[in-house]
Amino acid sequence: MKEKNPTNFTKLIERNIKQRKYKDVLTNGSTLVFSLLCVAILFLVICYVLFTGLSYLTPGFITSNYSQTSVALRTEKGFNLDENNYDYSDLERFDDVTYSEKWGVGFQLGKDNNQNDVIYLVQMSENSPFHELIRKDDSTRFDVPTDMYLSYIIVETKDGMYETAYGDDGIENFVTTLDNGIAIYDSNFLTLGGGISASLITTCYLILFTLLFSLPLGIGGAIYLGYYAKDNKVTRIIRALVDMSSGIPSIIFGLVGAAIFIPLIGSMTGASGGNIFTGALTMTLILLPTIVKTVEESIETIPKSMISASLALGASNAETIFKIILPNSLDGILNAAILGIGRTIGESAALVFALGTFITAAPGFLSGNTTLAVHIWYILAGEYPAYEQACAISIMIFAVVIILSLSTKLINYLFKKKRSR
Amino acid sequence: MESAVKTKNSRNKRKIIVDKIIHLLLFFLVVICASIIIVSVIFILIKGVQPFIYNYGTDANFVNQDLASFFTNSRWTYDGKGGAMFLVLTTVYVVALSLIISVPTSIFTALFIAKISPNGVKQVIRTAIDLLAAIPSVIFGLFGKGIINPFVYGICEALGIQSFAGSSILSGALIIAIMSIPTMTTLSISAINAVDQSLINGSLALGASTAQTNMKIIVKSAKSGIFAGIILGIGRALGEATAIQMVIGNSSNGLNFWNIFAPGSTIASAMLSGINEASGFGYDVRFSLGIVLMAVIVITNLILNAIKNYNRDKDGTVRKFIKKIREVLNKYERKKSN
Repeated sequence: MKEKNPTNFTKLIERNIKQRKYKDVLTNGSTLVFSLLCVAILFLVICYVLFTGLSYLTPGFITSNYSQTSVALRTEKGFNLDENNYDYSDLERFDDVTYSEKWGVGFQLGKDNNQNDVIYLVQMSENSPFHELIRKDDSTRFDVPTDMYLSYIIVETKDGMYETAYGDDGIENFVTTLDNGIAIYDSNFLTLGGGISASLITTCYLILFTLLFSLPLGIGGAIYLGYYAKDNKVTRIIRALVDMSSGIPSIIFGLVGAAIFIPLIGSMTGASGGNIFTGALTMTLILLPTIVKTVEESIETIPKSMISASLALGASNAETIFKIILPNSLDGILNAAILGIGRTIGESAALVFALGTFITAAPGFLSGNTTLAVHIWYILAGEYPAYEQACAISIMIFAVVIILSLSTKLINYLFKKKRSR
Repeated sequence: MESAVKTKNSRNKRKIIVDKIIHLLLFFLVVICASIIIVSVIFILIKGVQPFIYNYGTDANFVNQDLASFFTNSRWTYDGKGGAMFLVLTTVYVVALSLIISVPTSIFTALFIAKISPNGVKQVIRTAIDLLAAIPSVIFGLFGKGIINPFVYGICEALGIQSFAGSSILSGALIIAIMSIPTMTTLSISAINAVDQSLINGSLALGASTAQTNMKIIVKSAKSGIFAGIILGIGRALGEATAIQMVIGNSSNGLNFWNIFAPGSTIASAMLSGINEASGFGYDVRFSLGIVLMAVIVITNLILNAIKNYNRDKDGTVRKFIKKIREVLNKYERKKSN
């Protein structure tokens, strides 16, 4: 019996070690699984956005307006193509353009912002009767610009019949039908709709004004807290208040913007609702705590000896601030600006209240506008959510966000290198 | 010589004046930064109380928010009789559901990044977490609407449950969980990195394996830092509006909020949904919801901080407070029995 005990004991230990090994593998494995889950979520988000939106991200999508303008045109009454002889020799010929020899115009197959095939009018001869088209509603002359596409055209044939050619019939059929006619009875010219140009421009303006308002305020506050402030009650209260405002959700600041800035700017300029300034001021409220903290952190890394040396050489406080503190906290200021840009591009809840969801054709400073993020929210809010367009905008936002976060890393790396020298 | 001294003196004087001006200006700027929160709270309180007082309808048809139904009604409507308490319950419920996913994920990921992974892998996952934090909430909303809602719809189909195209409390909780993972993970990493190395060495010297040390020593001693991260994440999650509004279905009926496959509505999502058509009363009552949201965030933070401090200092104010309440209750019971 006595001889058996040691083997039992070692067996027990062996079993214990085996069990522990399984447990260790399990815990280590689960940390790996959860980490991979995080990466997988990011991967899934990026893949979804890329695969859904990439084909919709065309130059036409970025440069065109959200609203679509259409115009119905016809030839003047009594017009007969066969009665006149037109000279279309000035028309330059390209391989990928289909020409209507009778009308002296060239068509090309293109895509609209919903990725449907549409027929663009790309070329017109100087002598083409298309220059003499009039509006159907008020009979005024309308010179067709070449960035419009045709959804349908109704022509009058020789024997007084009407024939309709649709844009999605295919370009050959379209031109054949058009050539059968001697006059255009009705047609529908459209500009590209569903684009984001106005929202894009508004976003840029909003970023500009937000930085213009928030950076001076934030840097000033940070310099006071980092340089002047003594450790007393007032400073502690100020710090606590700034910290607290960073915990407030942005939708609350949106309400504040709607309650304070919209009436304020409205009474100053006569604007009736949200505009770029109210949006920028609201974004300033959201960004200030972050900017103050980032810049202050960078001020605190400046060696005290540098500041003391500057003061000992006879420089005043103001001179020390402008010549020592500001240049040496440049990395913090740049990081704060980058953070501000990122937050402004992505902010939606606050701007729904403070800027509005009105997608315009022409961005103005005092009229209703919207940013890209709110644009996404708006086009998804309806009964038929436009996922593809939303994903296309998201790709742009993603690109900016990734560039920004990489540039923060670059800035930190460069300044670390400079400091260590 | 004399004139040189004079100019020097005057220059010094100017310097001093400029100094004072700059000092005052900077103080003014910092006061503006600090007063933002005070002004914001005051304005939201003023605007948020208005729907309870003013008449938004005509003289004959009096429309304002009824205070009693604001606390008791189980539906959120814009006719003055909406109840907000179910929005509060739904909000807390959704965030609590999200914690089931986000807390373990964050802690394990932080552990992996800080202690387990090799350096190259660490950088990749760290960057992924940073990028996840940088993604705007509207893109998470798009992702939720495009991927998570169909996924939840698929689950409902498989289980034979009726669903509203996947817009549900569950989708909201999933989105909130994904969105709060970066905050919690980042703070957990710094908490884990701050754990004393001698504790870890001691544990290893006593024969514990690294995995045991990770779970029993590191996570335990980083507990309060991790909890601080969770509190911050919860604060963000409670106020999240756009993403959750896009996936949760925005049902005005609060009674079935416990059913995770039914559409619901949180405070922030109720503030945001239908804003395009809102005007007058329907617009102003959103400020009242704003007050409720702020109150919920403040109360949640107070409770969580109290829990956090309860375990740490034995003679903390919380314990004293609870002791006092117990004493008062005991006295009351003694009196009653007498």
